[in-house]
Amino acid sequence: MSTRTATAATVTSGPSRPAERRRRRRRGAIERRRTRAALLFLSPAFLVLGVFVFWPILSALITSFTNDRYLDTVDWVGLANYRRLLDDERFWTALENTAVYTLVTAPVSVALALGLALLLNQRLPARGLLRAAIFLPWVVSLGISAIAWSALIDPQIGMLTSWLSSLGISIGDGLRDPSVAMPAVMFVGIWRNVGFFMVMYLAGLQQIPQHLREAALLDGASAVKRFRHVTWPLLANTTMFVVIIAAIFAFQAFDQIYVMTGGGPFFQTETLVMLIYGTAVLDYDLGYATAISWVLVVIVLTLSLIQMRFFSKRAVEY
Amino acid sequence: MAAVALPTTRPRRRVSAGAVLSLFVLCAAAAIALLPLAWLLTASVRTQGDLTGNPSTIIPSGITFQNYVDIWRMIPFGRQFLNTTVFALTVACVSVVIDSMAAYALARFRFPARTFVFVALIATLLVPIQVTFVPVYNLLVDLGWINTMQGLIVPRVADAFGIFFLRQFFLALPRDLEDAARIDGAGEFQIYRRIMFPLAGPALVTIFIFNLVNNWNDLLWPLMVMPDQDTTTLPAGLAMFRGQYVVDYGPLMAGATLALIPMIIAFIVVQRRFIESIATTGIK
Amino acid sequence: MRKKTLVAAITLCCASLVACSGGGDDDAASSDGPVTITFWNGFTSSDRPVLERLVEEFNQSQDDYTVDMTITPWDTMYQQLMPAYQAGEGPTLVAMDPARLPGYATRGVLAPMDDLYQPDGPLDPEVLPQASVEATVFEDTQYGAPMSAGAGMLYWNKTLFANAGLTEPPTTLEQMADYAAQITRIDPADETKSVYGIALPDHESLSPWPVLLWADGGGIYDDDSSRSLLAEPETVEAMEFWTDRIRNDNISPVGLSGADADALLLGGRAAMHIAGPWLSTGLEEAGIDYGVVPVPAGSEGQFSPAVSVNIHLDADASEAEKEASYAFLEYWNTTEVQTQWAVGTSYPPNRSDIPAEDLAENPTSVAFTEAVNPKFYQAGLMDFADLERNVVTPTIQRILAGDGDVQDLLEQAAEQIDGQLGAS
Repeated sequence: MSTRTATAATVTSGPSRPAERRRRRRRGAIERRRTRAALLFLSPAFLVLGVFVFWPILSALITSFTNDRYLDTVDWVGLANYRRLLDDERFWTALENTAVYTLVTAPVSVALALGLALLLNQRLPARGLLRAAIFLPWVVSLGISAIAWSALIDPQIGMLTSWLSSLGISIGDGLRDPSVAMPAVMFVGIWRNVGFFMVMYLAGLQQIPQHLREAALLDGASAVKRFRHVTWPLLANTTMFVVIIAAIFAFQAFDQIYVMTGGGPFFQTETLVMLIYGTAVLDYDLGYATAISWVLVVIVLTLSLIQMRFFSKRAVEY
Repeated sequence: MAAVALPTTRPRRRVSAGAVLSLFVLCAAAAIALLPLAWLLTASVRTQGDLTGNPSTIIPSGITFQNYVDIWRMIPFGRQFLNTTVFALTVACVSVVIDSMAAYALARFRFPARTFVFVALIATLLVPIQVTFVPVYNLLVDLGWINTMQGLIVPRVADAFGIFFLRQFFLALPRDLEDAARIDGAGEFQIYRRIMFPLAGPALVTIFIFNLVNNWNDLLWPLMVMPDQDTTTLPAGLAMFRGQYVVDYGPLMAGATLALIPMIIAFIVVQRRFIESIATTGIK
Repeated sequence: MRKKTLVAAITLCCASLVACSGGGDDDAASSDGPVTITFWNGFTSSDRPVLERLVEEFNQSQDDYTVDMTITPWDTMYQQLMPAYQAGEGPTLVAMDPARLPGYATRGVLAPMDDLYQPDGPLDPEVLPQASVEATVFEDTQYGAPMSAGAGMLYWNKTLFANAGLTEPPTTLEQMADYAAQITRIDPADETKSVYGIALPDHESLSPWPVLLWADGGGIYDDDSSRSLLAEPETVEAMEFWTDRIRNDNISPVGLSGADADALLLGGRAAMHIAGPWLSTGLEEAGIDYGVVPVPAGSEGQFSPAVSVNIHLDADASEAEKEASYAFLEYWNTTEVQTQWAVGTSYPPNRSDIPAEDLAENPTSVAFTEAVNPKFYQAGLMDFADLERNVVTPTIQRILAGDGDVQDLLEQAAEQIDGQLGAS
C-alpha cells in the first residue's frame, strides 16, 4: 500500500525546471549506460529462454515442413503436414476440447477461489487451518493426486462411487464414459488450482483499505452492495492477473489428463497438448507433431497480443 | 441513516450468523480438498489385498508399514529424493536471481525493443512444454546432457512466470530509492543488489516457493531427460508403480507421502509470509 | 548497434561455454572389473521379484559381467526407449513385445543377432519356442532372443460360477457369452455392488479382441499385414454379437484397461477374464477360487493370444557389451533358470525339453503350457503401436460405447488403416 502512494507522489511532485534541464543534458550518457545495464540484467534469462524456448520453437517450424519420423531419410514435404491438419477430425476434436477445458475451468476456478477468499477473509475459528487445507492440493504432485482421484471414482470399486451411490448419485461408467471423463478431468484441474488462486485473492483482499469497507458498512450498504461497489472494483487487478494465470494453467493442462484418461475414451478428453505429446513421443511423427505445435504457437501469440493490449492499458495506472 | 442509530451489536450478530454458514461451506471445501490426500495417506499403510478387497472404505483393516520399507527396495528412493532436492532447490534459488534481474530490467529501464521483449516473454509463458519438447530433447542430446543434472536444471532456471510476476512487483516500487543511490554514484548492478533485491524479498519468496513446488512435482520433464532410475527424480521414479497391468498402490502412496512431507514443511514455514508477500507485490 | 553486437557476442560466448561444459559424461568402460550392461523391461507385477532374483544370481555366479536392470511399466518404458536410443543413452538390452520390434528395427537402434543361433552359438533354436524365435526376425534378420513366451488363458472364478448354478467353464465363445450373461448381476442402485460375467478390456491390456474376432473368421489385420480385416463381414458380425451382449446384457463393463479388468477379477467382481500368467499370484493372495482354461473356440477356430517378450541388443553396443549380453541370454535360456522362471511366475518355460513334472510345484505354469493355438497379434508391422493406439482401440471403444453404427465405424477404421499401410 505504501508503495502505491509513494509512486503516486513521485509522479505528481515533478522535478523543477532547472533540474529538468540539467538532467536532459546528462540524459544521453545516462540513457546509454542504463540501456547497457538493462541488457546485461536481461541476458541470463534471455540466454536460457532463447536457447531452450525460442530457438526450439523456430527449429520446430523447420521440422514441421518435413516428414521426420526418426527414420534414416527425412524429406521436405512443404505444407503437407498443415494440409493434413485441416482434414484431421482428431485435431479439431483436440482443439475443441482445449477450448472447452479452458473456458470452463478458468472461470469456475476463479469464481470459486474468489468466493472462498471472501469467506476466509472474515474472523472465523480455525481460519488458518481451513486456508491451509484448501491450498494443500496445489502442493501435491498432480500426477499422484490424479491417481488417487481415479481410484476414488472407479465405477466398480471406487470409494467415492460407493459413497455417492448411497446418496442416490450415480457416476455411470466414470472415466470410461466420455460424458463423465471430461468433467472429471476438469474437476481435478479445478480442485488443484482453486487454493492457489484463493491465496492470490486473499492477498488482494488484504490490500483493500479497511476504512473503505468501514465507510461502506456505516453507510448501511448490504453485503452484496459492498461487494459490488467496493470489493469487486478494488480486486480488478487481482482478478485480471488470476484470470490470465488460470487461462495459462488450463491451456497447458496435461498431468491429470495423462494419468486419468490418457486422452480417451476415443480422444474425447484429448487436448492439443496431449495430441502433440502423443504424436511426437508415442508415434514418432515429428513432422506432424511440430505442425500441430505451430498452430498452437500461433494461437498463443494471438492471445498474447490481445493480452498486451490489456497490459498496455493497465500500465497507464503506474 | 437508520443504521447509524442502531446499536453496534446488530452487525456483529449478523456476522456470527453468517459465520456459521461460512464455516460450513469452508469445511465442505476443505473436505473435498483433503479427501484424496487422506485416501493417499491411508492407502500407504494398507496392503494391496486390503485395498482391492475393501475398496469402498478409507479405513485400513490393519496398519502396515511394509510399503514404506518396500519403496526403498523397489526404487533407489534415497538417491531420487536427493536428486529431487538438488534439482528443485537449485532451480528455485537460481531462478529467483535470474528472474528478478530480468524483471527489474523490464520494469525499471527503458531500452530499445522493450515491448517486443515483453511480448516474447508473455508468449513464452503460454507455450506449453510439449511444443518444444522434441527440439529441446535433441538439443540436450547434442550437448550430451541427457541423464545429467545440468540437463535437468539449466533449461529450467529462467521462467517466464517468475519474470512476469516480479516485474509487477518492481513496477510498484518507488523510484526515489534508486534515484538517490544513482546520485550517490552507485552502479546499476549495485543498486539492484543492495537495494532492489532485498526490497523484493517477499515477492522472491513467492517465486521461490512456486518454482520449488512446481519442479519438485514435475513428472514429464525428468521422465524424458533422466531415463536412468539413479539420476531421475521422485515423481518420475514413482511413475514406475503405475503398471500396465497392475497399479501397485501401497508403495506408490508411501512414496508419495514421503515426497509430500518436504513440501508441506516448506509451506508451513512460509505460509503466512506467502500471502503477505503476494499482497506486497504489484499483483493486488 | 554496438550494444546489439555486444549482446550477440555475450550470447555466443555463453552458448559455447554451455556447449563445452557438456558431453563429458560417457561412462568410460574401465578395463578392469566386470563389464556392466543395462537391461530395461516391464515386468512390474508378481513376476518382478522372480526376475530380480534370477538376475542377481547371474551377477553372483561369475565375475566378468554385471547386469544393471531397470524395471518400469511397459508403456513408460516405450515412451522413454526411442528418445533414449536417439540420445545414445539407451539400454544395452531391452525386452519388448514382438509387435514393437519393426518400429525399432526400422529405425536402426537394434543390433542384428544372427550369430546367436549359429551351430556353435549360445542358443539352440531347436529347444526354444519356435514362434518366439520367428517373431524376432525382421526383414530376414534375427534381432533377438526369447525372454518369456506364453499365451493368455481364460481365468474363471469358481465361486461366482457356482452362485449362478454353473460348474464347468465354457468351451465355446457363444457359451462364454451365455454364461457371462447368467452370472451378471447389475445393482441399479449401487454400481459398486454389481457383478459382471466377464471383464473384456479394450486398452492398455493383452487385448482379447483379436482372439474373439479370429475365432469367428474375422480379424484386425490380414496375416501378411497388407490390409485391414475390420470391414470383412465376419469381423462385423462378430463385433455386432459382442456389442449386443455387452450393451444389452451388460456382460462386461466398457472401457476397461487391463489393470481395471485385473482389479475386477481380484475383487471377485467379474467371473471371467482373458489374461496372462501374471494374474495368478495376485488371485491366490486375494483368496479367489479360480481355474484357468484355454480361450474357448468360436465358429471358425480356436486361438489364444500369444504373450511373448523377447530381448534385443542396442545397435551401439561395444564388443564387450555384446559378449556380456550373449552370456546373459545363454544363462537366461538354460534349463535351470527356465525351470525357476516357470515355477516362480507361471509362465511356461522357454525350453521344450523341460519335463512337466519339474514344474509340478506350480500347476498354473503347467496349465499355461496348454494354451491352444497361440497366435501373435500383428508382428511385422512398423506402425503397429501407432495404429493400435490411434485407430483400433478408439474404434472398439466407440463401438462398445454405442457411439455409432458397428459396420460404419469398422469400415471407417479399415479405410484409415489401409490408407496408412498403403502410404508406408
